[in-house]
Amino acid sequence: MDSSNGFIATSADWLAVLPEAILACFGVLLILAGAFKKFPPIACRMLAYLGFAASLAALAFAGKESAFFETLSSRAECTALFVFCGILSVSMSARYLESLATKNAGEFFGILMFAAAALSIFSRSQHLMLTFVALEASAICFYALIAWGRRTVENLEASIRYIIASGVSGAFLLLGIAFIYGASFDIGSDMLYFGNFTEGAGSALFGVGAVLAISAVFFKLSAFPFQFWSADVYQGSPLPVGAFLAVASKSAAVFVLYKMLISLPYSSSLVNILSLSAALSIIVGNFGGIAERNPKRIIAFSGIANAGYLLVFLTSAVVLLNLGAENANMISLTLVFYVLAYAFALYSVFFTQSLNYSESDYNMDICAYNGLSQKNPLATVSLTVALASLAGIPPTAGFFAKLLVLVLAYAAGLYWLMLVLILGSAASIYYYFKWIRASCEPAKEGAVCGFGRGYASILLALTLAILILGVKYALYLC
Amino acid sequence: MEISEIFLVSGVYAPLVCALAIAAFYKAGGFLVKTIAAAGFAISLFSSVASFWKCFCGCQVAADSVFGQLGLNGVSAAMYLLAGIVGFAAFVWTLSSPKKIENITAYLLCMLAMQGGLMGMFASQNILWMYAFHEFALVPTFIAMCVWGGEKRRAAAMEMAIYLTFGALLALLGIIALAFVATRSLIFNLPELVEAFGANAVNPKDAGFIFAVLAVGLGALVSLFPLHSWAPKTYEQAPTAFSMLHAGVLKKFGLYVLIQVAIPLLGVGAASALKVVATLALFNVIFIGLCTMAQTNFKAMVSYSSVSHMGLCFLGIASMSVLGAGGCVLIMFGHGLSVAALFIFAEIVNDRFSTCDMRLLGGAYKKMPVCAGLFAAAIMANIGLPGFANFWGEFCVFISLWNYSAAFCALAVLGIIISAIYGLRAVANIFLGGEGENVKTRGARDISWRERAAVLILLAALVIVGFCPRLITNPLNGTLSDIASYNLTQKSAK
Repeated sequence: MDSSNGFIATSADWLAVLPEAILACFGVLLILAGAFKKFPPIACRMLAYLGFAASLAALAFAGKESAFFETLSSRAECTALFVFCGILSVSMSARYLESLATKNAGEFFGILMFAAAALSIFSRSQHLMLTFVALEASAICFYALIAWGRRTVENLEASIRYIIASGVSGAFLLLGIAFIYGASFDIGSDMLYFGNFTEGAGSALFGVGAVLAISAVFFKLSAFPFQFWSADVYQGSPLPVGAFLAVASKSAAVFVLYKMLISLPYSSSLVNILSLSAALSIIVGNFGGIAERNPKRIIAFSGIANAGYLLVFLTSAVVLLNLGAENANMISLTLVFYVLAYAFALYSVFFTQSLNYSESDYNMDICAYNGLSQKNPLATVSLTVALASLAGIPPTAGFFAKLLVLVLAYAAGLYWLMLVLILGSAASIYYYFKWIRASCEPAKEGAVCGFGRGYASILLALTLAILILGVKYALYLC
Repeated sequence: MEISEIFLVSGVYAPLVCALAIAAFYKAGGFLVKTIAAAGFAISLFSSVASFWKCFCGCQVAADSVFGQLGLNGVSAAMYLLAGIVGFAAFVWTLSSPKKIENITAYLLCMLAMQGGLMGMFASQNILWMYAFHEFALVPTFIAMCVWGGEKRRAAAMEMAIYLTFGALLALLGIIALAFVATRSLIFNLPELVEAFGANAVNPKDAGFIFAVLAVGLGALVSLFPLHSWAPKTYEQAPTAFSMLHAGVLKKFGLYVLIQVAIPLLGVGAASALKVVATLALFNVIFIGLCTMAQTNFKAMVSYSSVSHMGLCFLGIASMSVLGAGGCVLIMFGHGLSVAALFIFAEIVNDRFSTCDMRLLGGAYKKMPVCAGLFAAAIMANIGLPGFANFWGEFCVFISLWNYSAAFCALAVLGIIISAIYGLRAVANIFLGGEGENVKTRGARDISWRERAAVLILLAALVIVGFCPRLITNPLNGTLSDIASYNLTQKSAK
């Protein structure tokens, strides 16, 4: 660190965190606005959109090196994803907030923006201490968001579960940091920096610390063996929050994990641990999903399986980058593509789910989708496309994402993982197609489909995005 | 853009565009939807015939599209033609079907989406797109089965989806390996792959392994024993038009990729894996053949017989000769048409007598003589009697098998006897003999002209190729003779 401007940030330095700063400022603004009863919810929503848009615009200025924020990577592209998720979650929350008696929409949006900012910092951090701070910051936002419907037991229960899970994960990370910090004394350089990880090769202390730190991120990713919380938490959270948790939080975890893993010194035991965890995530996710009948729980198990697919990708990336950097381009492309495909598909499913008016979806059976095709054909089509994308049926984006992962795994020589992946995918057909089937079948006699209309333009846009991303990318391949 | 390019591309685009148009005018219903669907199927029929004719005349048929490079050779032209004809027949049948189809708009939408997949998978020159089109066709099939299928549709549809996805994904592994092993990059275009494989020979051990993966994956798609259990259930439960399209066309995808991609590229390395495939295929021919004989329900019998016939196709491929592979394509062509016709008859019988159970039928000849005649013709085509396309296919396969292994040939010929037994017995049980329980109680009308249309289209194609097999075999011979893998044993055979 340059001593001349040691603790004083210049305006150029602030530019580096401009997107996150804007998000946080608007968050504060929204919470303040929420305090005024006369400030209508629709205005809060507009303010939230404005904040996200401003943050997106600020991305143009980000990406500069900053000596002051040296613990932060200058690459801020992933912020766009969190902003995107935030915008979609804000749109989805309109109906949810209406259904609650309290009208404090401003607070809800404000905390959502804080969460987005924290996740953005989390995925940009390149120093374990900052990773920890950002992880905790995002977790605190999620505690509040998940428990938003304070009067319902489900929300509170889910929030408590999340507090415990993420508390444990924070403790793991902190313990890992302590170990690595200890190892730094032996070696003499600050190994909390991702860039200095390689110097820890051979140090047992560092090894233990690294495993603990990775486990902490596994919690966020909901990868085996730290996946146990996700089904219950998803089931109990409000839909917009569930979607944000499922997409943004998971993507942030993947980004961080990717950066950590490729910085770590290569060792075959690391690859073995990762592949084992990948295989078990795929198995637990897909075979656990078969038994589920609640849409949100199915999404959770599908999320565990997808964490497994992403771990296959990360394992292949570790192996390939150790062999040489010739595939580096393809690897980062796969990461972006996979996360985008997952985000589109999952938001499409969540939007369809949020068209359910009849009852709380905590105990919803998948049969509640019967009759959707007659009531809302567009939602049926978009649900079908989204689930087909999650299942990996071409020509959707999900198929090409899976294809890219398979190609990388093949190049890395992880043949048995490929086999596990396709077996898992074949098993996953059962619960994805069960859902498609439920939405196509007519409602049982006497029963009324509890779904309504709405979000037509968003559903259409997401469906087209899934298809176009698929077809367009395929063109690039051919 | 040349006229032949327009033909080729429009055949793939038309069904998909028409499907989108139906989705846009979803609420209009009735006449408009039927007209749009008619346009989609008619264009793809016309395109397939025109492209096939171009190919027969020896012209180069290739075009660029949104879905990568399209192009036809002798093998794919025949299959493309098959997809066009069966698709159109299925559509004609859907309009004239005696059973009223609820929500016909959605039904036609699913059919068009499936037809787009079928046309695309045979027209594509890119392995990845072939795969993508095939998988894409799976979703409408699944939905159609779930909504319009028979009583046990839910389990059958799920079993089909899981089996087919598993098979397809396994084949995808093989395809990735195939592309990677030769080029070390992501090139899936067939002509470039052929070049790459020509430039650097692949280690036979690797080739054998890749072929084995492909064969298992594709085998599951074509219901190769012991991965066949999904097929009879699917065809029995699916609505007629989808049974026609699936059993007639979609299922042929696995064999098509083996003939068009796997064997030409992997060549000698495939030989040992093919021995295993051929042995399993014998189980298809004989074991499943015997299962077919045991069926009392006519629709189930047709479903099983279509599984059994796929064995002969695999045996033709296993001989790795021009004659065998060509015979396989001819069987695929003939079988696709004849099995589609038989599914139509299954629905007619079910409509007239409220059952397909052959124990309750018999003597229907007096009530519906024309139907009986057409039915017998379709059955004979299915058995492979001379005068129909299937005959030439089976003939070629047996000759090539004799060169491959006399024992295999002897066992495979049993398949013909078996299929004659169940086929002719079906004719006897339904139309001849004393009047069955359900025939007595119901005053059945004969097959109407509207209902005849679809059957006549299929039978006409069967007979034309049966009397003039040159139509298919000339381009086929030209393509297959240029492929080294099929000409390894040619000299010794001569």
